[in-house]
Amino acid sequence: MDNLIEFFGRVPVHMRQWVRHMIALPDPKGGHAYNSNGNIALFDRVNGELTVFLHETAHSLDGLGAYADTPLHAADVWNSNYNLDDNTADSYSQTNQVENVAQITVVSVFNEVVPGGFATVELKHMGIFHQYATL
Amino acid sequence: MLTTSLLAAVVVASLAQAQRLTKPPLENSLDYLKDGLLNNLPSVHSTNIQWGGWIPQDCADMAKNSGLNPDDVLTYSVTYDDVSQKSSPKSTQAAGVDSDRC
Repeated sequence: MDNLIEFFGRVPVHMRQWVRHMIALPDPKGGHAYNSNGNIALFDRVNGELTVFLHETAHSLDGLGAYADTPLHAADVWNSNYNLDDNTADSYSQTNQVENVAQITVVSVFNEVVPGGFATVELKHMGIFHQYATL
Repeated sequence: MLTTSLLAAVVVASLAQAQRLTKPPLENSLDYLKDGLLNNLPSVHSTNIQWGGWIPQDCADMAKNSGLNPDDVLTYSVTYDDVSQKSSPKSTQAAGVDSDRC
């Protein structure tokens, strides 16, 4: 519980408000975490991974109306910006646009809060620039 | 006719959203972002109140989906210090399973 509260507290407040309930669960046979209708379930193995908290929170923003177009992952503005880029963020982003939006949100948060932004850790940042700039 | 077209459009749209993306990834994972995020997203103090014996339906459902008994879930209302009073103050409901008890 302490992990859950501490790490969720690190998610920016304007993102946190889109999450309804959170539950920490012991590890199942597989799976890390999921978002169901704005609620987040986190399994032990990732309860302490800030990127996972941000990723799952991103699903709530995507689906519950944080953006002008809901869900964002299906919106023209998202897909047209995706089409302008050469890359996805990482292997998990390639799953589909739902996961891509969530992973790009993590990148976007990094870009906002870390001095110098995403470019400080990724030389090829322009490969996904339109996507993380959209958020 | 119109209904069939609309249905087809919805199916196509759903399939498109579920489609695997073909653009090459920049990296294998986002692990390289962890340190920057941890160092620049500070933890926020919160006050927590444990509820006695009440669990939101969504939490009960998620517990059951993991094969667990909702009665074993400890539920809390968590209010972070940075929640603005001007917007409706929203406390986060958090629940945890004490795995020792399961």
